[in-house]
Amino acid sequence: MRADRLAVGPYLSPYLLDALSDSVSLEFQPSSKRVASGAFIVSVFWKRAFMKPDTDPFESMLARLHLRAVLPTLVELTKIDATAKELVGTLSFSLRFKSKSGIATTLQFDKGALSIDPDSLIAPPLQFFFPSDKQINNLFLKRGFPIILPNWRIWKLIKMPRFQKLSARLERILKAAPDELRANPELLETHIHLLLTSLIPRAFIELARNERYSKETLSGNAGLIQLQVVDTPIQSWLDCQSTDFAYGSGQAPRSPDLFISFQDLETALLSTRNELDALAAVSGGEIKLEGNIPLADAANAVLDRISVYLTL
Amino acid sequence: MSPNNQPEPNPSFARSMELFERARRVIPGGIYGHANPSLVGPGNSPYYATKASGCRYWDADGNEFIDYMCGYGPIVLGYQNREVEEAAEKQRHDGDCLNHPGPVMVDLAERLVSLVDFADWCVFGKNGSDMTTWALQVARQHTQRKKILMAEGAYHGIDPWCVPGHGGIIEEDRAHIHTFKWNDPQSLLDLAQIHADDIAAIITTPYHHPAFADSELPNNDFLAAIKDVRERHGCLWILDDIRAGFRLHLGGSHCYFGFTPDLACYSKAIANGYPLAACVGSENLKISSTKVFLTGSFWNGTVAMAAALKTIEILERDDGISRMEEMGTRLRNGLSQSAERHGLSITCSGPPAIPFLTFSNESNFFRSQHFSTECIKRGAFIHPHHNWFLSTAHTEADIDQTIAIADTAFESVKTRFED
Ligand SMILES: Cc1ncc(COP(=O)(O)O)c(C=O)c1O
Repeated sequence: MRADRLAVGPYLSPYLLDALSDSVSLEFQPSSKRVASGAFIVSVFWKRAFMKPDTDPFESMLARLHLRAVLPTLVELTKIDATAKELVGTLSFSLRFKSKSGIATTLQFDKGALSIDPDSLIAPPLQFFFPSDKQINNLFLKRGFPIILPNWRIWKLIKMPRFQKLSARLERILKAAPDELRANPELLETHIHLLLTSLIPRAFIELARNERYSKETLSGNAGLIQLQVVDTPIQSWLDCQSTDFAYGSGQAPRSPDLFISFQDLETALLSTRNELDALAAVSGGEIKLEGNIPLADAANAVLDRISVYLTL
Repeated sequence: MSPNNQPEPNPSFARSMELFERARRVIPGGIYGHANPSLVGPGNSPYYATKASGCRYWDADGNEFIDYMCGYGPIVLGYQNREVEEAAEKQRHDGDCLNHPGPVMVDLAERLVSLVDFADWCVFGKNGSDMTTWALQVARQHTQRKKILMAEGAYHGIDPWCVPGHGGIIEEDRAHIHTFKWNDPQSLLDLAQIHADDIAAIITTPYHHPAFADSELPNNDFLAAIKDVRERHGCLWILDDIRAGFRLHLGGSHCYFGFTPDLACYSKAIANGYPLAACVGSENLKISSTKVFLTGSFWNGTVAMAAALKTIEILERDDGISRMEEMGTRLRNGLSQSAERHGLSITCSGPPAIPFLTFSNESNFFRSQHFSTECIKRGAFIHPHHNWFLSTAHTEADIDQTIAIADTAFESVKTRFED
């Protein structure tokens, strides 16, 4: 447990653009002198980053979660949130975040429709390369000064303000304080929707695939989980098989092995914030659990791991 | 209406829920551990019991159940067995928690040593976990080695080396605990090969009784592999007979299956519900055992020991073991016939006195959960995920009534899942 290193807020923010603009100004001023000096500074960063090899598994896992669970939640956001839809408009551009370790994610806006391809092999015109996983986390956590090396087609940055606003919208919803959420049922529903149909299942899969503890905990526990919040459209599923994992929003593609239903949004909120006595909630009926209980137990242990890295 | 046109029973669990609501405010989880209702049927099962007698108990709402969990094992002669209660009461009158052990401790140790064929000495604790963990330490002390081999999915208690929960465990707790597959001799032999001369002990239950799965009796090749590893690598064999002890054979379950361990741990049924655990061992381990510190504030309590002496006496006198086997067989046959009549494929596993039922080829337990809920609703308390227990108090009439209840429950399973 690395409680001292819990993320304080795993979300993108205007800070992203500030950080990016700083890097940009280093590399892309027209004067050749400034380019040279920019290159020098970049190379200093580069060296600093590489002198301390990024071998901290905590930082790597956290970077994975940032790029493959938090950032992709923008997709769900643009589907369900009117403000986000409006912000995206008919935007078309793609953007890749990539760390030297290979952890990457590519966001693709195609006439306003956002999709994510974590494993895209084609580098889009705009790519942010991070010399270490820690630098990715620095960006997301507003921690220290993130070292980001944009690629040369940086003029694409012109599209960034809209992306920045979108990120800010995501951050606003995900990081809304409980009191604010409780006072605004619509915001609460969007918040829970984003967590249960995107961020949490995606984070679960990253942990299940990449973290030894989670892999071991899930081994021998296969099955399809259906999650839902009663009387809301919030539904998602997680397919845990011995070879791989999948997830989706809505109804599971086949008959589930385990149903987990939250009685209401408040129960889901407390649960996602790790503020619920889940054992009592199941016995008390606020959470309904039916089916493969050992899978529920193992999955819950993995879900608990999310809070080691991210504060929801 | 229930499937056979009987009015659907609809027991209330309101008082249980009321108590639970109070409990959860002051007790984490409300009810934790094996009794946590989420494992049986949240909202559809009793949460609190108020009294019990023979093979029946009553919950906080006054619902009556024929019981197949027997306090999760300890109740071997039936609840509130008169003779055991009298023996306990007599001892309580003289004193329970004293500065010194009572004479009853010596009597009981002598009794156990004479009952268990390989035993030359005996120590006592309160819970099964006290004994399994201590036995591990004795093995490590005796062999001066670290490694413990145990079967995957076996339950040996709540200490960090073996607890099945996830919280509060650090890697180091399990650094020297390694698992093999039950009834898979090669898996054990391979594991033993890896840890060779660093193995302190193999710990097994007499047969495999994991939760959420069929019970499995040991096959001969597997038992031979354990003996082989013990001889080849000079390690000890610890028998965790906590769940099965005093239900299969009065001399210990190893006699039922025909093998001899080096240490054996007992608890549960030893004192018909009074808190007591024991570990017995062979002469060659006696000195090592004295080097592993063993105590607890209540471990010399005399009442549980008096209850144990009486429990063993009654089991022996009335041939209780045969009685449980007979009733367990009657139950198993009745359940199998009923399931077959409904065209349901079930597996009855475990020895008759500690039976378990699963629906064949079901990995998600929906049928088991529904079956259990239906039985509970109709007055037979069975668990969907944990083996059941018989006691000597179960009569033919109780068993037949249970089979009738199960018959309706099977029909309901059939209607819900297969029609
Ligand atoms: C096989 C086995 N070993 C150990 C234990 C632990 O015993 P206790 O719960 O008394 O600590 C149990 C309890 O169920 C058991 O069944």
